[in-house]
Amino acid sequence: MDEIEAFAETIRKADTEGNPIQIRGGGTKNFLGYVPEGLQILTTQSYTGILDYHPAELIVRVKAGTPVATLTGLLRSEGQMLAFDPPAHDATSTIGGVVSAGLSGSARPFRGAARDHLLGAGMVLHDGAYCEFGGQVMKNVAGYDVSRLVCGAYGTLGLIADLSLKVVPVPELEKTINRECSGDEAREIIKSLSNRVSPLSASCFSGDTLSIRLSGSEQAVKATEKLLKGAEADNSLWDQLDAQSLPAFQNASDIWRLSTEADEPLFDYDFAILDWGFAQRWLLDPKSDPREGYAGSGHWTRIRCENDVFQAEVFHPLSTLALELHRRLKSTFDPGRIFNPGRMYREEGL
Amino acid sequence: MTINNQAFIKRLRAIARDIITDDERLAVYETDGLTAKKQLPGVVVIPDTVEQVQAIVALCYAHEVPLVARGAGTGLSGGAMPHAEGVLMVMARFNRIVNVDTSMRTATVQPGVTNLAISEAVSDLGLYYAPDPSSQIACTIGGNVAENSGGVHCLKYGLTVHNVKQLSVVLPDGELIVIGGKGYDTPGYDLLALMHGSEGMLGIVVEVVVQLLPKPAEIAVIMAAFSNVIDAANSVSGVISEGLLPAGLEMMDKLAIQAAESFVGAGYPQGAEAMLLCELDGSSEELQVLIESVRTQFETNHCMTFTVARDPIERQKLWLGRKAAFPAVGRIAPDYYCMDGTIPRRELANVLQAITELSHKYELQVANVFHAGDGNLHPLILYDANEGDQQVRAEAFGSEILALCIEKGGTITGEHGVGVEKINEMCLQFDRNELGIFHGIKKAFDDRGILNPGKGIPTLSRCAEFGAMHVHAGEERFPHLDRF
Repeated sequence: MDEIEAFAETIRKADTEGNPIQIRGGGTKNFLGYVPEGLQILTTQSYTGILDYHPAELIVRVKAGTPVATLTGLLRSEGQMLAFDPPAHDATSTIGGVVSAGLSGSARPFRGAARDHLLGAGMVLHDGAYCEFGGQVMKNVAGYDVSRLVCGAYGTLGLIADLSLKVVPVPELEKTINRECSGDEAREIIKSLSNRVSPLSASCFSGDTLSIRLSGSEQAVKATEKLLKGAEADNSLWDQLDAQSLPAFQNASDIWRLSTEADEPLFDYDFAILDWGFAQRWLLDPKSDPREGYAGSGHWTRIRCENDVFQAEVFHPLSTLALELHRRLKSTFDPGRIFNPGRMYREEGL
Repeated sequence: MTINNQAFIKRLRAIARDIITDDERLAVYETDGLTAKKQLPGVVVIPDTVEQVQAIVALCYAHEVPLVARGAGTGLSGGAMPHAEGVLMVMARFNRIVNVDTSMRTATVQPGVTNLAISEAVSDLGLYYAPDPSSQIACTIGGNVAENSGGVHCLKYGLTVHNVKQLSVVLPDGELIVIGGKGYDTPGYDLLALMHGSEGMLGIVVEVVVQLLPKPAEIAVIMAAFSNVIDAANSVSGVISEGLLPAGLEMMDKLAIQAAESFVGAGYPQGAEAMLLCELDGSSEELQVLIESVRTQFETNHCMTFTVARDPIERQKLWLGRKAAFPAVGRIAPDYYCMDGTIPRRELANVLQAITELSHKYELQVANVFHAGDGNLHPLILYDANEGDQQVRAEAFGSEILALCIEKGGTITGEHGVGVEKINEMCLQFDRNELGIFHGIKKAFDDRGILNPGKGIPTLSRCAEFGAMHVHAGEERFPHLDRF
C-alpha cells in the first residue's frame, strides 16, 4: 500500500498547489481525447500485479497498472478470460487504461462492455483519500454505482488504483469464419444469428467480406459454422481489429468512430470497417467526417485526423442538460480540476 | 414549506386529477414490501402523463417539498416508504408497452409496466426480458431500475443495469433528459449505470428501453438434495470452478424447503438439509453434456437425489417453490425479516454456519433461500412482532449478518437496495470519504435534496449516532484526521 500512499501524496500536492496532472498507464491511448503538453504525469505503470484471484469466484482484483496482456495471460492459464475483449493497443496497454477509457472490443454486443464486467474500483480521490466503490462480489447495490461511473471517464474523476473484474470461462471452441457477401446480406446473417441463441461472439464487415467469430461448445460452433458456408480464418483478426492495428487502420490518415444503432442506414463513406454487428463503424477515409452532415442517433469520436486544424473536438458534444450534470459531477470529484483537465471536453475542462 | 399548505395542494390538484389527502386512502401507501417500516404520506398524487410528472417534480422543487416515487411497492428495503411531509408519486398509470422493435430486439416501456408483462408481451416473438426478480409478477420496471434488481437468472444474464439501453428521466427541477441510447455506448460519463440502483434519489424514470434476448432452445432444471448444507455449498463452488455457467443456481435449506413444499407442493425433497436448483440452457446436445458435468460435481459432493426436469410444466413447478419461498416462509411465522447480503462464494459454508450460531444466540429461527451462484444470501429471520422483544432481536440478528457479510469481503445488499432498512449498515461498509462522494453525486443531481430524502445514503451524523464507521483494512489510514 506504499504505492497508494505515494499516489495520494502526489495527488494531494497537486490539488493543494492547483497543478493539474495527467494520469497515465502505458500511454497507448494518448490519441484519444485532449492531452496537453507539459503536465505532470502520474503513471500507474509501476503499480502492477494481482491483488486477489480465486478462479472459482469468477472475479479478479488487479492493480490498475497491470498490462492487459499480463492479466489475460494469467486468466488463460486458469481457463478464464475477460469477456469484453479488452483492446490492447500494444504490450504496455494497462487494464486501468482500458477501463478508464471504457473500451470494449469486438465481443461488446454479444458479451457485454467493460463496464458490465466491472464490479468494483479502488480510487485515489483529489484529496488523497483512498476509496473503494463496488466490491468483489457479483451483485452489489450498496451506494451509487461509482465504479461504473468512472469507467469511461478518462481519469477525469480520480485515479483508478485497482479494479475488480468479472471473468468467465474460456469457450470450448472459438472459430473465425470469412464469407464474401454484400452489406445487406451481411446484416441479415448477423441478425438471424442474433435473433436466436447462437455462438456468435464478434462480427465485422469490410469491403465485401463478412468475418464472424463463433465461441461456445464444440457442437454449437460447428453447427453454426456449417450454416455460414464460409472459409475458416485466423482468430487473431479480432485482437488486431480491437487494437486498431489492422493495415487499413495503419494506413488511414483519418479515422472516425461512429457508434450507433446497428439498423441505422449507413453514413455516406468511402471506406469503413463495420464492427459490432454494424453498430460500431470505423470510417477510414478523409472524406467521411461525421461532424458534417451526420444526422443519425449515434455519436462520433475522432480517432485520428491528420489534417484537422481544430483538434479540440474529439467526442460528440453533450446535450445542455447532460453537460450540466457532467460539470457538477466533475466538481464533486475534482473541485480543483486537477485530473486530466479537458481530456474529454477541452473547453469545459472536463 | 409543509405539505399541509392548502395552496400547495391546490397547485398539485391543478396539475393532476388524482390526489389523495384523506388518511384512510393514504394508508394504502404507508408501506412497501418492507412492512416493518410504515409512514403515512403527506399527499399521494397519481399522474397520467410525463408532462404532469415534470410539473409535479418542478412544483416540489420550487417549494422544496420531499418527493418519493413509487412503482408497485414490492421493494424489500423501504425505498418507497413515503415521507410524512412529502408527496408520494404513484407511477401505476404508466403501464403501457410503447413499442417493440423486433429488429433490434428492444422494447420501449413505461415505468409502471410489470417485469413479467414485458416477457409475456414478446413471448410470441421468441424473445424475453432476462432479469426476473421473484416479485416479477407485480414489480415494475421503474422500480427494477431504481433498485438494479436481479433475480434467479442474473448469474448468466446479468442485472437490470446490463439489460437496459436507455432511460428517460425527469430531473429534480422538472427537466426531461434521455440517458443512454439505442447504440452500445454514449459520449461522456456513464450516467445510465449511475441511475441504476439509485433508489429514486437522482431522478424519476418515465420511460425505459430494455434489451430483449432470444429464448434458449432448450432448458433443463436440475433438483438435487443434500444431507448437509456444506455439501450443497461445495457443489456450487464445484460447478462454477468447472467452468460451467448455469442460467441459475439456487439453494434452499431445510426450513425453506419444508415451508415451500407445504405451500405449493413443488415436489421438493422432504427431510433433506439442503437442496439446489440448477437451470441449464442450450441446444439439446449441449444440454446433455452440461447435465452430466453438473451431475459429476453434485455426486462428488454426495448429493442424495438428482432429478432433471426438461418439460416446461415440470420445470415451472420446480421454480414455483423457489419463487414462492418468501410467502411460504410467511405462512410459518407471523413475521419474517429478509436479508440480502452478498459474499464471495467460497465463504458460503462458513457464513451459513455462522448464521446458524447467530440463530441460537438470538433464539430466532432462520430459513435460508439464496442465489448461491452469485453468493447472494437471503436469510429469512422468523419472528413475531407482537411477542416481547422479538422484533428488536430480529433486527439485531439481521444487522449482525450484514456485518458478517462485510467482514467476509461482501456487501450489505446484493439486489434489494438500502432504502431505509440498511441505512445504518451503510456506515459499516463505507467510510466518510466514500459517503462524501455519494452525497456529492446526490447534490450534483438534486441540489435541494427533494428526491426520496433519508434513503440510501446515511448522513455522517447518522453514522456517528449509529456508533460505527468503516475503516479500511482494520487500520486508520490517516491517523491525523479526526474520527468519530
